[in-house]
Amino acid sequence: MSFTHPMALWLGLVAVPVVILYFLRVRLDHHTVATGMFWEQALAPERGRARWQRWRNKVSLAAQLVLVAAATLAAAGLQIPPPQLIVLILDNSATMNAADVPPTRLAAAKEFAGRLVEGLHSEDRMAVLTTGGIPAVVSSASDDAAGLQAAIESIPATHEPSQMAGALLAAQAIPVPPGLIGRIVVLSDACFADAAALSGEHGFEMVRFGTPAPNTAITRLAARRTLPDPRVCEVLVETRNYSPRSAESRLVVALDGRPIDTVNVSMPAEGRWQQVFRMTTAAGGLLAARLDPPDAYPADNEATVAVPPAPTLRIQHVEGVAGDSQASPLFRALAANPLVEILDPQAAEKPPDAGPSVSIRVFEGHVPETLPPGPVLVVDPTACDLWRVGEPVEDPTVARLAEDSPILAGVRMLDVYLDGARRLELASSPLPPGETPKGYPGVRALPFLWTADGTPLGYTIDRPQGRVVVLSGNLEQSNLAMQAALPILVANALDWLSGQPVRGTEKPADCVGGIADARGLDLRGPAELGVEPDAVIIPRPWPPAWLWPAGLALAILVAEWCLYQRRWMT
Amino acid sequence: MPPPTDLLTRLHYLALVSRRMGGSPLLTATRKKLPGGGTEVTGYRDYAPGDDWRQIHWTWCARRDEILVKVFEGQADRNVYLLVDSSPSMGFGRPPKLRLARRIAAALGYVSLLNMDGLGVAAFAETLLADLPPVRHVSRFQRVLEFLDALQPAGSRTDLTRSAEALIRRFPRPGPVVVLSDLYDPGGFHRGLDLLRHAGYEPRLVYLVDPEDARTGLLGDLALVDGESQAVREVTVTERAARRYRSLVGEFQARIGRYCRRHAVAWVQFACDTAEDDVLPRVLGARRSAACGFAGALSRNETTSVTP
Repeated sequence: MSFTHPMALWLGLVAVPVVILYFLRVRLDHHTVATGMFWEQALAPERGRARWQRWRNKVSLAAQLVLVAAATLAAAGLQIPPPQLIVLILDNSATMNAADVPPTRLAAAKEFAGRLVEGLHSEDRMAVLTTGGIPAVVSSASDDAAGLQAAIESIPATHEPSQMAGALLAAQAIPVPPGLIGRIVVLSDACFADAAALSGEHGFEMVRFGTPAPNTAITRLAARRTLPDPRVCEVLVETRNYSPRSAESRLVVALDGRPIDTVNVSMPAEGRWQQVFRMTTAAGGLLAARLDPPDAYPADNEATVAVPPAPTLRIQHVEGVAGDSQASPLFRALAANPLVEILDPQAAEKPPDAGPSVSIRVFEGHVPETLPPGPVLVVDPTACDLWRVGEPVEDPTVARLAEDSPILAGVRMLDVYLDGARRLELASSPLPPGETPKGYPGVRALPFLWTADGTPLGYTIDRPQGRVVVLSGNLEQSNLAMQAALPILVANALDWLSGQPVRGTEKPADCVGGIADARGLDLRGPAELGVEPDAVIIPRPWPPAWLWPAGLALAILVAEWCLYQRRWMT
Repeated sequence: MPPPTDLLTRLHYLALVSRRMGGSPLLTATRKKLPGGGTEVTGYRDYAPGDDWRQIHWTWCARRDEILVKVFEGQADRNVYLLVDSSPSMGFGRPPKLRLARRIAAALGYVSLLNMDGLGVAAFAETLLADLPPVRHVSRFQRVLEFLDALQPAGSRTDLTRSAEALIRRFPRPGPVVVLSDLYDPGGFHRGLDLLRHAGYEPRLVYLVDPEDARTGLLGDLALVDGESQAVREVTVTERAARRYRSLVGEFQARIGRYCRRHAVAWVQFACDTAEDDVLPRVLGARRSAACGFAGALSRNETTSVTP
C-alpha cells in the first residue's frame, strides 16, 4: 500500500473535530412538553430498537471516522498493490518463431507485454530484457509507457538459442528502488536449457507461450570445394528430429533456385540424418535446402548458404619467339589449370583500365628490360634490371633441390634436363640471406634448383613490387615438358606468386548455412512450467484504488445523511 | 380590588345578550327529576348517600321502616361548578391555556351568578388543589375573580377521576360542572366525566388546546421533559415517531368529540391563541352561531360542540 500524495494524510486530523463534535452532540437538548403521554405512545414501537439506539451514536461516530479515513485515503491517492519494478524478460530466441501460437510465439509474447505495459500503475517501473543470443537490455527501468511499448515493438526475432540463465542474472542485477517491489516476469516458451532448474532457483514468474510440439530442422548446411577440382563443391546437409517418434520428410537442395537434388529423409526418434551432395559450379551462388512439409517451426526447415565463385588467376602469357604461343608446354600447363584464365597477350600494351586486370604475368623467352611490377613468372629469361644472363650451362641437369621451397611441393625435379639454360647473375649473386641488391632495396632471391656443379637454375625472388619466379632453360627442348611435374610446378609457382592457394588447400574453407546452433530448435520445453497469460496479467488500474475509499466515503455520507443527519432538518 | 369596570360592563352585556338568545349552552339547565328542590313532588326513591336529609319522606319511614326521599320535578335552585384544570400542562401555550381558562371561567361564573345560580369553583390537577365554596349572587363575583386570578399551574399531573371524586365529596349537591381543561390525563379523561355523569352531575367541557402540541417539530435525539411530572426521558424522535405522535394527538381530539356526542355532553374547543373577544361571545351564547348550539365550526382553531 502506498500513496501518490502522502501529504494529504494530514487530512486525517479532521477526525479530531469530528470526535469533539460527537461529544458535544451527545449532550442532548432538553425539550419540555405539556404532556409526555402522547410521546410515550408514539415512541412505544421504538422500544424494540432500544438496544440499537444505545449504540446508534457510537455507530454514527464510527461511520464518520471511517468516512474521514476513507476520504483521507482517497485524497492521498491510495495505491494497492504497492508500486512494482517489473523486469520483463522477453524470450526472442529461435523457438519463439514457432507458429503454433498465431502468428508466432514471439508476436503473442510482445502483444502480451504491451498489455502488461498498459496495466502499469503510475508509480510502477518496467525494464525489458531479451534472451535470444546474448542477453540484452532493451529498455532500462522506466515508467514511460510509450517508450516501453516502442522498445518492445523493436525486439527482433532471432535464430539464436535462449540464454535464459544469463538474462535472469542480469535481471537480478537491476537495482530495485526503495518503496518498490521487484518482480521478474518471463515471457517465454520454456524451450531453453535447464528450464526447470532455473525456475526453481530464481523464482520468476513465467508466462508460457506455445505448447510442446515435435520439430524437424536442418541443423547443418555446409559447402566446400574439393581439393583436386575447386569447381566441385561438396554439400553437407544434416537434419534432426526433435520428437519421440520417427519422422519422414523430403529434402530439396537447390542452387540459385535450380534444383540440384531431392531426397527422402527418414529420421529416427530423437535422431539425425546426414548426407553429402556433390555439385560442380565455378560461379557459386545461393545454395538452399528445404524440408517438406513444414512443421510448427517453419523457419528451421529452410537453410541457405552462399557458395562463392572458385578463385581464378588472370594470366598474361608473353612469348618472346614468334610462333604459336599456345603450343608451348608452358601455355598448355597454364591452360590445363581450371583456375587460370589466360588473357590476350596484347593486354599488356593496353592501358590498365582498358580490360580486366592481370594477376600474374608470364614471360617465356623474353623479358622486358625492366620487369613490370606485380607477380611475374619467367621461363628461359633474357637480361633485365634484376639479373643478367651469362654463359650457357654445360650440364643443365637438375641435381639438387631446395626441399623446403614451395615451388617444388609435390614435384619430383631430379634428373630433369633443362636444355638452353644459362647462368643467371643477379645483382649480387649469390645473394647472401638478408642482403639487399644495390638499386633494389628489399629484394630477396633464393635458388631452388641447382645443377650438379652447383649452378642455380631457378630463383624465387621476393621484391617489394611483387614476387618473381625465374626458371632458366627452354621447356620445348627440355624433358620437363614431357613430365607430369610441369603442371604441378607451374601451379606451385602461381600459388607462390599470387600468395593464395589456387588449387585448393588441404583444409578448404567451409560455407556453413542453416541454424548455427541446434540447441534452440527443440520446441518441447517442460510442460509443467509457466502459467497462462491471464494468471499474471496486471489488472488495469481502473478503478484506481483511491476510488474505492472515495466511493465508500460517499456511500457513508449518503447513508449517514439519510438515516441520521436528515432528521435534524425541519 | 373591585373588578375592572369595563370587564363587568362587557360581561353584563354579554350575559344579557346571552339570556335573550337562549343562554349559554354550557349553562343550560336540564329539566329532570331531582331528589331535592323543585316545585312539584313527582315520586319517591330510595335514599342514597349524599341525598339531602331534608328531603327524606319521614312519614313513609315511620310507617314502612324504609328511607325514601322525595323526587321533585322542575327548575330548582342549582349550583354550577367550574372545574378549572390548573395542572402544569395548562401553563403551556402562547398565551398559556390557563389564562384563557380563567377568562372563560370568569365569564361563565358571572352569567351563573347573574342567573341566581350557586357558583362553586375548584382548581384541580392530580386532585382538587383549591376550591371556592358556592356563592350565590353577583355581588360575590369579586371573590370568584380573586380565586381565579390566584390560580397558577401547580401539581404534578392531571387526574380528572380523582379530581371528580374530590369534587363530588366537596360539593355533594349535583349540578352542572363545567370542566375547563386540556384533558391531558394519562388515565383517561372519560373516567372523570363518567363519574360526574353517574353521580348526577351534568359535565360540560371547555377543551383547550395548544396548536403547537399537534404541530410538533421535535426530531432527533432529545431529552423530553414531561411538563407535568418533570420526568426526563432520552428519546430519539424519528420521522415515523413524529408522524405517529401527530396522529395520536389528532385521534385524541377526535375521541373527545366522539365521547361528548355519544354522552350528550356539551363541549366546546378553543385554541389557546384564540382572541378573547371571539371566545367569550361564543361561550356565553351571545352569538347566533353559538346560540344555535355551537353546531358549526367556531373558528379555524375550534371544533364543534354539542348541546344536550
